[in-house]
Amino acid sequence: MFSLINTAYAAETGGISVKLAPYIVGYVGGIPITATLLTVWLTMIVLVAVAHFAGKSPKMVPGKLQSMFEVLLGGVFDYVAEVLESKKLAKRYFPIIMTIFLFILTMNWIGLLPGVTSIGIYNAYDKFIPLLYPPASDLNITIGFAIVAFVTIEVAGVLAIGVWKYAGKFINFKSPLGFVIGIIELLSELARLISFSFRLFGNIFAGKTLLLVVMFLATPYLLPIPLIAYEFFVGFIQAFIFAILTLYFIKLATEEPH
Amino acid sequence: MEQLLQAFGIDTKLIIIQIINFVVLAGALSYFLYKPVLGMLEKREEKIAQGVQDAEEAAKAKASADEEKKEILSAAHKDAEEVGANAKKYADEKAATIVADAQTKAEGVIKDAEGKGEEIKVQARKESEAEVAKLAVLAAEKVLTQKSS
Repeated sequence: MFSLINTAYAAETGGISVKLAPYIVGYVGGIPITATLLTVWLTMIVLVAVAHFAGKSPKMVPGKLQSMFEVLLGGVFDYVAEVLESKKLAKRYFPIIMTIFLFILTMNWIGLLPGVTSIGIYNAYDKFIPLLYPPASDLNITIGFAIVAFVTIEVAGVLAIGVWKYAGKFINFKSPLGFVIGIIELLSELARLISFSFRLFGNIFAGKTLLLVVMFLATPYLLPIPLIAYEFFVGFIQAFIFAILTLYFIKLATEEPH
Repeated sequence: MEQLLQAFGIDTKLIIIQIINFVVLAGALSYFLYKPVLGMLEKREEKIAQGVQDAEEAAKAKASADEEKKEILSAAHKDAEEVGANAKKYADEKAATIVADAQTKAEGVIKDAEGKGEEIKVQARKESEAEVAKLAVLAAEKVLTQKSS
């Protein structure tokens, strides 16, 4: 049942099958366990393991791993504090923003490793099901991130200026124009959910599909290499964009309405 | 809509699981990574600030110590000069008294010696007068005896 397949070879023999829905490996208590979910769990294990080593016993004079994380975390923390103009707010939202970045980045990069998409099992219908699959090519995962970001932004707004004032940004009867603008604001607020989730999904799904097409149409030996390098870059950029947009939307939400 | 959700394989259970995944990971990373590393950065910042403050204080202390040193040195110089001057003055006075004493003593000695010399002279004259008288008596006696014999 367990098998390794060559993606390029499979593509050549079976044609390209591009599937939007995630591969379901099995069911546990009625919950579908997808290949993307397994990859997310792998990502979490890797991140927690690295975090454990990097932050185990921080020293006054840091080692290499500690220095790297000090530069990354310290730099991001300072930037967050600068944007939010408050150390207190930075302390509150930094863990969420940093986790969004690290989670998406690691997830995307793990999705590009060899073995992901090509190690899998054959199901009862003799169909190949990969065990690991780039997580951001599954809309469930990206919607999950989008909801986390959305809730964080709204909660930040409510905590900063209060429920009524914050709601007043969207629904107000000060003037007809104010009312219309409020409704537009509300729609754009909700549209973020979609833009957040589809941007990440679209980029990673497109990258995956592009690699598949290149392997199918052109030579599967050399051409995919620069494309894979490019996909690593895309994986970073998408993680960066997701995190930085969350930060800026938090900043917007915490501002007093004019 | 139903079809769209199916095409994308959207399942609320999976979305909820993903949200739980995020919360778990955020908690774990906060505990294992963010807190210790940011805490260490803060500690280091405090230590550096403390170090800078200590250095400033030390520089200040050094400046005041230098000042004090200068003051003490000048005071010591002044004292030394005074002591020297006093010592010289005392020595001069002492020398003057000693010389004066010596002079009076010497004068006394000379006077004594002169007195004694005079005395000896007088004595000698007295003695020689007595001798001459004696000799004169003897000579007279001799003459007399020669004349008589």
